[in-house]
Amino acid sequence: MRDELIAKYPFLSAAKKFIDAGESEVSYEELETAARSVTSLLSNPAASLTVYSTPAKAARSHALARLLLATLNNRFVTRRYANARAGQAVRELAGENDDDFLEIARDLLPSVEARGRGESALFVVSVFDFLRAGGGLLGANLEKGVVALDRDALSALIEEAVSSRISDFAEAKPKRLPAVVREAAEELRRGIPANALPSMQAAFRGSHLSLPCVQALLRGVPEGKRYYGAMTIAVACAKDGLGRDAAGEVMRQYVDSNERGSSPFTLREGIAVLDWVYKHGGEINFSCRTMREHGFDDGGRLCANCAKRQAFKQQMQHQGKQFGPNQPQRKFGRGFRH
Amino acid sequence: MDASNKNFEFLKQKFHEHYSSVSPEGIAPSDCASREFGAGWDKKIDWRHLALASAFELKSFLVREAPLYVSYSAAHYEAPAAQPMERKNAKAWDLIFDIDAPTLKVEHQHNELFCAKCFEAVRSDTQRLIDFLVGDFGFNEKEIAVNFSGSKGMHVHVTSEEALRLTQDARKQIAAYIKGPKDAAALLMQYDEKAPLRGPNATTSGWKRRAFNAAKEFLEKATVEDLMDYGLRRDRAQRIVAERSVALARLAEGVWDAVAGLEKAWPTLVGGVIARSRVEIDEPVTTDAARLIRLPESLHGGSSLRAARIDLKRLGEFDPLKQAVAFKSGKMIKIKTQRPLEFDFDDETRCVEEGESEIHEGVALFLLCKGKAELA
Ligand SMILES: [Zn+2]
Repeated sequence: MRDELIAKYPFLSAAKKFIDAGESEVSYEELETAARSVTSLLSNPAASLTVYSTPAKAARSHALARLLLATLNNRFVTRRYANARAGQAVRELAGENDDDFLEIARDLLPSVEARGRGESALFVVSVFDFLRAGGGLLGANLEKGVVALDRDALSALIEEAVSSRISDFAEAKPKRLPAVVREAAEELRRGIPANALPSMQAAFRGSHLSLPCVQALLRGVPEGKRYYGAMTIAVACAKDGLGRDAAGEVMRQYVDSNERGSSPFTLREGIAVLDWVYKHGGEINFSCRTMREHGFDDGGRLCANCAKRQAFKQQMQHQGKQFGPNQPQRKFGRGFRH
Repeated sequence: MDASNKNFEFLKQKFHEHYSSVSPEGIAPSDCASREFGAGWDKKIDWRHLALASAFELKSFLVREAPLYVSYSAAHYEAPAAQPMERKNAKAWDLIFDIDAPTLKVEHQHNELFCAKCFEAVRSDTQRLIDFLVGDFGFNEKEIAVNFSGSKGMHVHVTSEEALRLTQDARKQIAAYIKGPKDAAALLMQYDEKAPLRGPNATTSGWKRRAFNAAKEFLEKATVEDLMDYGLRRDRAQRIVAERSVALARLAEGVWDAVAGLEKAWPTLVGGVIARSRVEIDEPVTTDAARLIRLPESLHGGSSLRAARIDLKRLGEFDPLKQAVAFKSGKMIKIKTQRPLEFDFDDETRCVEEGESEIHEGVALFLLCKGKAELA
């Protein structure tokens, strides 16, 4: 791979040798610069690519930015950054010649092959690479295990793959962090522009969406609970009377905040859940009890509804009445099932 | 001993005899030591998280316990007996599919005991599923194994290296692909009523290709009457027939409404091709990593039939009531039934009268498992 390409696209695998060969110590100034590059991209995701003078500088800057994001440990911000970075790269990629384009594509999707050149070039990629990168199958040109794409469609797939590669911290996260890195990450946290943080617009302030347990969900849930979390979010949106578009925005935030895990929980899946809930309208109730059973109770804190129930229970006990499964279920507020 | 206990003990004895006669290699799944096994007597799975380290251990277990249902994990684990699930540590995961009911519901006289009509549909669904796996996904036929579910469905196992490594998200996508697009709108695009109707062109493949081929075939042959069946006015239909070659040439470029009126026909036509091509699989079986599935070649306690492995080339001829019958001795058994029964079994139409009768062991076990008879 030519150095010039690594200077532009330091997320490529070939950048690793420059990291390995580079200085292992890092100064606060250097970290500060990396933090600034992150905040500046977050405030202006449409900015064009910064091209470094050497591949080593580009690789180091990229690695430090990821180190800071991993330390910051905010999936939402990471995803926003990774998406912006992938978008930048793909806009730049449009200007690359056929050979460079193919070489970069292969770094992310090893099975890519070109059929023809120039404007009318067609690319094929194995269905397994296609799925790993997050491509959607239903509309794909799939035959005999390969997906055929034109250059635009392949670029879109590359964008997905770059974003996943940048936000996957499986290897980037060191066990023990030097104090200087923690300080710089704190600096970064303070500098994150408001537009890069989960929005707290009116949509998020409905009586269900504003419950502390639902708010905790919106900050992300671990793998294995993502589907149920999405279902809860969708029900909360429906109960709050949000329009389908506004609900889609809430779902996007939820998906962006989630742990990527061994397989990503995609926006497509989140939207499918949302569509299902909206189709089944009022049939589904929001249940605080189920929230607690799934450990979605924001560290045991009680929401107003749960607190009300607790108080009621205590009052009943005080009056010597038994409150248990043999008592009729009582409802608090519309749509709440305890 | 009450009647149901007597039936149960008899079944267990018969299953024990059957498992005593099978070869360990014939019944063990690939990578036996990495699988979690489940077994059931009352329910399909009364007991799971079992590890059986070899084909020999599996056979010994089956002979000793004579379970009425046996299942195993699609996943390959480092510690198949560990609990909870996360501690099993999955290393790989077979890609599996379960078709347990026909995709297309067709009016017919359904036979509760075993419906040949329904099974015929399931069998052709299975063939279509294999066509998807080979034709679309590029799996090699040698990496695809098919077996009868033991009851009324079919199971398909894909064990290629690539399939074993698929993520859950990828499996969800594969399942959704095989179940097909929700409607024609997923394959045709029209921004609004005035905008041109764009659709797949002659160079596409996958679901788009299926839609394109159907549209092209229709347009090549459509008569004025055919078009009117889709709700077109006669003058419009006549114009389309007259300008057929223009419409076909534009269709090849992805323009689906070159001659006015055509846009009316496409949603129904494309919807039809989706309905005929898709396969209704039981999705969680494919996408749930913790799933257990019937062990091929084991017996099904709800039918006494074998979950027989089927040669792909002979799928079209497979008849469970011939090839999956496990008990074929000439022994006669006395049973009693509440109602007279008539059904095809092992190439013969069997008539069992109401009350007590003496019938062949295989037929008797089938009826006992189905709950249609008791030992007399
Ligand atoms: Zn039937």
